[in-house]
Amino acid sequence: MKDTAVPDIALDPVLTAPPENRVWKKFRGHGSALLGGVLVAFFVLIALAAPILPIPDPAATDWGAVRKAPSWDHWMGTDEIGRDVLARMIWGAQASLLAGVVSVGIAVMMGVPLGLVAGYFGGWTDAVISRCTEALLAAPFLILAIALAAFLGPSLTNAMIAIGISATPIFIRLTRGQVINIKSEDYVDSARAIGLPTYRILSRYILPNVLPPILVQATLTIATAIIAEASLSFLGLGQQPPAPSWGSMLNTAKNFLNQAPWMAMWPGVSIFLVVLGFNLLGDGLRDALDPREH
Amino acid sequence: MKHVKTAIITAVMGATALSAAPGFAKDLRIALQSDADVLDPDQSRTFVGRIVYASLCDKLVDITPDLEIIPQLATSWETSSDGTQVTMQLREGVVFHDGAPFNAEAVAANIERSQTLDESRRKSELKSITATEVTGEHEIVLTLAGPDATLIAQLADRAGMMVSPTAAAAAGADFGLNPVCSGPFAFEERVAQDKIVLKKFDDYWNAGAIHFDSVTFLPIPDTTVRLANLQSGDIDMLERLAATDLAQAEADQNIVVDSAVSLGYQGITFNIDNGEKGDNPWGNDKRLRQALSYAIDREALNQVVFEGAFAPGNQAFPPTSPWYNKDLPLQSRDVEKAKGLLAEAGFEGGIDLEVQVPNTTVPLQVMQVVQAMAAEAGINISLTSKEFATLLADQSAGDYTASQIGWSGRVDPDGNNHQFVTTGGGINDSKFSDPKMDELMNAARVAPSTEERKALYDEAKVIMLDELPRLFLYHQNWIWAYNSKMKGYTPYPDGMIRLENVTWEE
Repeated sequence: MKDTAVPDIALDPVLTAPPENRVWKKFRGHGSALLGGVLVAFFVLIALAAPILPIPDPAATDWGAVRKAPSWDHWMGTDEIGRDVLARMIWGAQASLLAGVVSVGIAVMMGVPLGLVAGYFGGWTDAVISRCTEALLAAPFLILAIALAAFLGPSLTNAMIAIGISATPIFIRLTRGQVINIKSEDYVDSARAIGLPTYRILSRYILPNVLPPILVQATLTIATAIIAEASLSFLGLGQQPPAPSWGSMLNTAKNFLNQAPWMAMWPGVSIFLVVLGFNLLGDGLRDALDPREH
Repeated sequence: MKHVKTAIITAVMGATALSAAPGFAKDLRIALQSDADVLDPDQSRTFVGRIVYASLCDKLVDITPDLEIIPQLATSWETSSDGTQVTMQLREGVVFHDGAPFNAEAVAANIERSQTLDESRRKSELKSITATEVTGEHEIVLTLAGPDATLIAQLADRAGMMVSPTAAAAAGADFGLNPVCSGPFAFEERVAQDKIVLKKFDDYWNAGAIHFDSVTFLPIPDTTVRLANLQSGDIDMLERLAATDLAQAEADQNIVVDSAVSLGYQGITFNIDNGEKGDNPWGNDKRLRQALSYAIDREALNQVVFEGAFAPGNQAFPPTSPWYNKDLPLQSRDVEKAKGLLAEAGFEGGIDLEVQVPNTTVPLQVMQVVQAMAAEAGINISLTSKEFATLLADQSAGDYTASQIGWSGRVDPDGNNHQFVTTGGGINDSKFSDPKMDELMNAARVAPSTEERKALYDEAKVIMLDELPRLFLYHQNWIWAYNSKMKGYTPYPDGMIRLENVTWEE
C-alpha cells in the first residue's frame, strides 16, 4: 500500500519531542551550577531590595552603640562608629554587584567589538589591536586596575571604569581567537559569497557563534571584578565613605579583629560566597554550553 | 705568667657575673609604626626616625617631661643681653662612635653642615645663626641675626643632634647609610623595612645609665599586629598603641601601658586663599567655618573613636599645655548656633563641603563621625580619601577646599603656629594672611620672657579661633605598651623613647 509506504515522519520520537533547550537541560542537572545560581540570585535579590528592606540607614551613626556584638537590635552587630553592619552589608552588596556587572559590561562592550574586528580582518588591524592587548596584559590585572583607579581619582564609578579597562584584553583575545576559527567555516564563506555586507556577516553569522564562551568568561570575570572592587575599596580607591563597600568594611575591621570580629566576618563571608557563586555559575555555564557531550 | 693567667680567669669570671646580672646581655626589641627614613639628622623628616635618634644621637640640649630645656651635650648656655649671642659650655670627655672627640670645633662643623648641606632639612630651624666662634676647646659662641626665643628648643631636636664631623665629611650626603653620632648606642646594621640594630656604645659619657646591650627597632605598621607581637613576647615594647586596643593591653598582666599627651594636634585645615580653589564660600566666609566648629561634638568624637583616651581640643596646644589660652575654653556643641551662622551667611538650605582625608583607618573614622555630626547642622561633607603624600602635595598646591591633617607638635609654641598662619609661612597651606597675626607671631619669636610670649600667643589665639583657618579637633596621646619586666620608663610628650635608666628585670 502506498499509504503505508509513506514514512510516518510525525511519529519519529526525536522530531515529536517538544523543542527542549539542550543547554538548560544540562545546566539543570549540574548541582554545583545550581548552587552558584542560587547564591548569585540571593545576593542580587537583597541588593535590589536594599531600598525597601526594613533596615536602618547604612550611614546612620549611633554614638551609644559603637562596636556592639550582634543582638536583636543589630543582627550583625555595629561597626566602629555605631552603624548597623547588616544594613551596610546589604547596601555593600549593591556596590559589589554593581561594580562586578558594570565593569564586566565595560570590558565586554570594548573587548568584543575589538576582538571581532581584529579576528575578522587580520593583517595590520589585527597586529595593532593585538600588540596593544599584549601591552595591557603585560601588567598584572590588579596592578593595572590600581594604577588606573589612582589615576582617575578615588570613587566607585572610577573603580568600575578602571576594572573594566583592566579586564578588556582578555575579551579581545578570546573573541579574536573564536572569530579566527569561525570565519573559515563554510556558512561564513557562503554568506560572503552571496554578497552580504561585512557588518551583516559579523553580526548575524559570527557574533552569535562566539557568544557562548564570552558569556562564560563574563560570568567568571564578574567574580574577579568583585574581588578587584573589594581590593580597591580596601585600599581606599573605590567606594568613598560613608557609603558602604565590603572592601572598605574589611579594611576598617582589620584594626578591630580582637575586639569586634563580626566587623570582619560578615563582609569576608559575603565576598567569599558571592565570588564562589559566580565561579560555580560560570563553570556550570561552560559545561552546559559545551557542544561536546560528556 | 701565673699571675697573668689568674688575672685573665678572674676577668672572664667577672665579665660572666656582670653579664648575668639583671639588665645585661639583653637586646631590647621595639616595634615602630613605620620604617624610619634616611638616618641622617640633617636630612630626615619622619617621627619614627626621631625615635631611633633618641638612642643613637645625642643633642646639645634635651627636654624634661615637663618641657623644660636641660643640658645634654651642652652643659650650660647664656644669652647676651641684646639677645644676639649665645655662649655654650660643652660637656668634656665625650667621644663620637668612631672615636673622634666632641668639642667646640665639632659643634661648629655640625651647624655648618645643617646650614649648608644641599639635602639639609634643618636650614630654616637654624636660620637665625649667622656665625659660630670657637672660643675654647669646650666653649662656642653662636652669633644670631637677632633675638630668637625658639633657637634653644630647636637644639633639643634634630637641629641640635651632633654627628661625627670626620664621618660626615667622608660620607657626605650618604652619611645616613652608616650614621656616626655620640649617643648611648652605635649604629650596627639596617635592613630596610625590616630592622635597625644599634649596639651599646661603651665609651658613652653616661654609660652607667644604659642597661641594654643592644636595641633593635622593627617597623610593624599594623597596630593589632604590634600588640599581638608584644603579647607573644616577640617584641619588648611598642609605640603608638591604638586607643581602641587599650582595654586589651591593660587586661594583660605582662604588659604595662604608659601615655603622655602629645605636643601636636589634629584638625581640619581650610583653603582660605591658596590658588583658585581658595575662592569658595568656605574660604571666603569665616561664619561657615565657625558653623562647622559648633556642629562638632569633640567630646563625643573622642569617646567614639578613641574611647576617651585622647584630649578634645580647640587650640594648637593641648589643654594641658602651659601655652593653652584658658580664657578660650572648648565650647560645647551647639547645632542651633551652627544653623544660625549658616543662615547668616546665606545658606539656610544647607551647604556642601569636600574634605580630603588620609586613607588610613583613624582619619577616616574621625571624619565619618564629623560628617555625621555636621549633617545634623545642614553641612553635607563629602570625603575624598588620598594617600598621605598626595594629600600633602595637593594641599601645598592649593588643590583642595578642606583637609583633615595634623601636626606632631614642637616643644616651642612657635613650631605649632608661626609657619601655619603667617603671611608666606613655610607650611601655610591655607594662605591665611592677617597683618595683626603676623605682627603677634613675629613679636613672640623675639620676646625676651615666657610671660610676654604667652601674652602674645594668647592674643593670637583670639584671632585664630575667630578666623579658623585651622579647625582643631583633638590632641593625640602617645601610648606605649611594654613588657612588665622593663622598669623605669618615663613617657615624654614629644613621643620619644629615652632608654636612660631603663632596666630589665627577669
